Amino acid sequence: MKNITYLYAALGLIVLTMASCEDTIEVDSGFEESQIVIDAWITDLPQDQTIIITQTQDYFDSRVPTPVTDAIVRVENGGETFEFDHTTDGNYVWPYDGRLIAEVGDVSTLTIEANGKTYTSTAVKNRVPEIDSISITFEESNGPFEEGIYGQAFARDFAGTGDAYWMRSYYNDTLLNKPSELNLIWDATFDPGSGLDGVYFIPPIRLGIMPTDDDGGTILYQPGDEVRVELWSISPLAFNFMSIAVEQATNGDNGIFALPLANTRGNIEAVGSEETVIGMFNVAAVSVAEETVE
Amino acid sequence: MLTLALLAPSWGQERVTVSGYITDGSNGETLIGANVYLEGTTKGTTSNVYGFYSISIEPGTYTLVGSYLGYEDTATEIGLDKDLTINIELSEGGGTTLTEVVVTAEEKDQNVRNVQMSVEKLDMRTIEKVPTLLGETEVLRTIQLLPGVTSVGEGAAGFNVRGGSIDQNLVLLDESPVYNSSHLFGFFSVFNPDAVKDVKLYKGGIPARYGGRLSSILDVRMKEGNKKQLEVNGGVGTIFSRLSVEAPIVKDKSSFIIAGRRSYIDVLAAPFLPEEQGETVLNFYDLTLKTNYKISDKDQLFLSGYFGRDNFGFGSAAGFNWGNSTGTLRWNHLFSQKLFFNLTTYYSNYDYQINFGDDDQDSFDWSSRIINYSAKPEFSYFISPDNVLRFGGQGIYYTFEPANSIAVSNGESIDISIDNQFALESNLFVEHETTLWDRLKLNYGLRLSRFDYFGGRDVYTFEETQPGLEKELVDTRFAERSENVQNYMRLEPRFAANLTVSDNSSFKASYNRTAQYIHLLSNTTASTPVDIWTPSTNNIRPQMADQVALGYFQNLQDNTLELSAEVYYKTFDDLIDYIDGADLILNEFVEGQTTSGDGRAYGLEISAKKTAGKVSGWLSYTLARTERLVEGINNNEWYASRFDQTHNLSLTGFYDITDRIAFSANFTYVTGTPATFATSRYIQQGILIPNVDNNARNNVRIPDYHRLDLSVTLDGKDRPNRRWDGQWVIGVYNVYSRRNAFSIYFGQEDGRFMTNEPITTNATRLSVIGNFIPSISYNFTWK
Repeated sequence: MKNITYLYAALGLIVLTMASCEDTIEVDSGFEESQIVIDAWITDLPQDQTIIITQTQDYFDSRVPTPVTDAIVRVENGGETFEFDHTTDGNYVWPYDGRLIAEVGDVSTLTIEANGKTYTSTAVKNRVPEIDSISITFEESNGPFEEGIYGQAFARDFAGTGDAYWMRSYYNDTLLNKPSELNLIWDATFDPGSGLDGVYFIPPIRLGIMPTDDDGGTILYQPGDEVRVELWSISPLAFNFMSIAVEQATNGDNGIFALPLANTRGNIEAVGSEETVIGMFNVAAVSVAEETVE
Repeated sequence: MLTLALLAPSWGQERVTVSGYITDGSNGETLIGANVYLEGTTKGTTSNVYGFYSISIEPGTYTLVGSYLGYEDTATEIGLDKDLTINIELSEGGGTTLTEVVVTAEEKDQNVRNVQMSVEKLDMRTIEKVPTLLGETEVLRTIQLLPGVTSVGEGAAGFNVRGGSIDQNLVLLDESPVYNSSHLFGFFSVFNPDAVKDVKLYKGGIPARYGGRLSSILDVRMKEGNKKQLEVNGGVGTIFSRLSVEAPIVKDKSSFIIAGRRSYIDVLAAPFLPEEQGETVLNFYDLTLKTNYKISDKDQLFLSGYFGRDNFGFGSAAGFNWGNSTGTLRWNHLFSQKLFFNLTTYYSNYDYQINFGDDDQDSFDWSSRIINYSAKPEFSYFISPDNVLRFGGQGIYYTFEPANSIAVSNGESIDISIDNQFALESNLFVEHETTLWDRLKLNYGLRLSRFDYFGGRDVYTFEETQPGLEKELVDTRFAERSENVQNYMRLEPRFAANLTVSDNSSFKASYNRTAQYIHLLSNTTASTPVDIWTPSTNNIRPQMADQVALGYFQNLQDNTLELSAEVYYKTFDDLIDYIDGADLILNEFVEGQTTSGDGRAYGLEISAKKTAGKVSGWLSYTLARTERLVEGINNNEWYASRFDQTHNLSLTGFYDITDRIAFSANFTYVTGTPATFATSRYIQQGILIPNVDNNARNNVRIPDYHRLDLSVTLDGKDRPNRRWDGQWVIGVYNVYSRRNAFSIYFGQEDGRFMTNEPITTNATRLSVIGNFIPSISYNFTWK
């Protein structure tokens, strides 16, 4: 229910708009040394799968990350091995050959050899519900909502708590990848612990398939727009990782109610070392729905 | 020792007692902390919080003097051969002193002579003179100008005392706790200046009669209402309009005050909002009431109440409101002229409601509250002027309602409420104040406190697997309502001493241990109105603190210049903290999101006050350090807490230019508070994520904070028999428009980025007040 913070942060801002201000300033990051970053989110979509290996960089170094290009990357599941080969820019690709990397419930193992070290992780592929429909409706204005065409993706959470999902939406073939557009789901709501379970995802999640503008406002659909929604199953660890990532990447929106800066916690370890490795290995089951706005 | 001290006076001669109440002759308000003494002897005392005093002495003829700063002394010749009741009425000094600023409400040399240290007392007339944001007289912002009191920043709710978090302050309004002391997040406090009589803050050396929080007691006392005549006060400010009415019900026996305030931002903003958003609600208000009845010379009743609320809403799409309500009923009874009894019973409630949507298909409603009822009998036994014994106890019954919540998603309704929690906090205390060898004053006492956490819900058992990570749920069971799930008992010794060096200087020392059984769950920089209070449970232990303080107090220039220096050292145990990414609201398993640690705070506080003359004011300086040690945070090393401020200086000055024109200024300088800055960044699934490489917490400081505020007060002409008295206050807050940082946050620039496109990242300074803010307000009194 962290999103409630947005409501009162927004309310507070209305009052303070006249007086408060934000300025970009120069600060020293104190950055010293790069670390390896492993971005290993694979799916059961019938297409090539990619694992990306890069390095961290100075927070204010606004460039594309330095890739790690000479790693050996493979995923194993029940005796079957899937080799990921380097193509460009730290992208390691397993070309789709008709095989399924894992069934729901399977435990897959990731092994990466890079910089003379071995990194490993395991991930269970969790279940994912179907997306029943993408409903496109015309709505009249109500409070902060403007009049126009809205879309909602309807899917029903499985009964039983502990299911985590990531709803990834495309708007005219563009992935909605702003930090504020990340649509993470625990059972049918935002966070664990609420007890809301086994129902349709709550409205802010359903509406979360819509793109936003630079001020965070919803961009309304226009006739002819193509909408694609993928619902990925993710592990509780992956949910925690991305929740912290989103909180941190959007912390500026919280104003005076900012959260303390915290690091994500990955699930990848360096064999024979206490080193913390940045990154996540997740194997997702995916359901897909597509709709054209009329 | 206690027994000896009690017996000691009876060895002496036969004694008689003079006692009574001290009041302001103009309106009948009792005076707290006024001085009463027998001229030519060393025997004297001060009135208690109900204005009562009692002096026992050998029979004889004496001159009884009553005095209070800003008032004229009264002297009464008394032949004391048997117990006497003498009520003293003081009147304010003539002509010019009406506008004279009184920086301290206490009698001139109280700060030196009193056994209490680490106590700040503010008179409403002082608070009203301090220049403030938008010209609103502010109790909570004024106490932040005192040494040892800080805040995480502008607009943040609450205040921090000597390294304590905001929930470690017991904020009392007529003895009833106020759980959220702020309106509009943290800009304004819930205390209506028209209804407040007296404000006292205990930062250390807390007497045994107070407890329940680790770091401070803020004791706000309401006016009783004019007992002599009808009086109307009011004002039109930038934020609030205020009106209060007070009058006698039965002359000199009973009176009332009713005071209300309402914000009118919504009224001002209405023309600028789009028409379809006409239903936007944005307001806050409060109502404060009090009445009293003097049944007899021995019995008096007081009934007071507060109700306040903040409302926000966007038509039917979303709504949010919160507020406190409190009610206090008190009975003062004199068992004898030496034995004063007070019974306080109160009710206090803090609640909030949030709702989204109003159709049958999709909606969300959530409310949460904390309610408590309490009874607190307390006896004061005035054995002799220098020998007072206080004892009593208290029981507080709590009901915590973390969430009453219904979510409707696509027509399906689910009750996602979290079961209530029930608890009883109780304590017994005894406190003895005495003087040895005429030079050494002591106040020592003991407080025994206990907390019982009851069932009536599922009880969870969590176990820590790895520090800093979510605790694992290992057991769930249902506990009956009557089951005592967990209880805690703490012994809290208290001690304060004053060694008088000369007529105008003294050394003071104090020690106190405090225990806290209820906690505000909050991990944001500024606390939010939806933060919930939680009891100590089988998973959350009570927080504890120990503090020692030493001080030197010196008055100069006929007690008009008060100087003091104090050092303190404080340790904290079982402080509540949170795992990274903690989810604290609407979480059934919130206990698993908490962790605990230790804390320490130490510092030097210097204060200089000039209490009389055309130019008056005070200077406060604090040099301090506040640190935390929590397993799993900052690589298990000590780190500076979010409200650690190395230097904190404030200078508040008043200049009476003429009888009618007064000028006030306030300058504040504070070292930037610690914050955690990102060192590196990386990308995961296209999302840019900040990282702190060595896992440090609060590794840098935001820029220093400084600000100057000015105001001018223009009083109406002072004509005899004039019933209407008006006053204009013109002020400017943040005169030189400094953009003080509240925080610095890190983020990527706006826009959508494709894979392999470089993303620019920035550090952004958030200034809550980025400009100078002028204000004008008009206040009036009619009587």
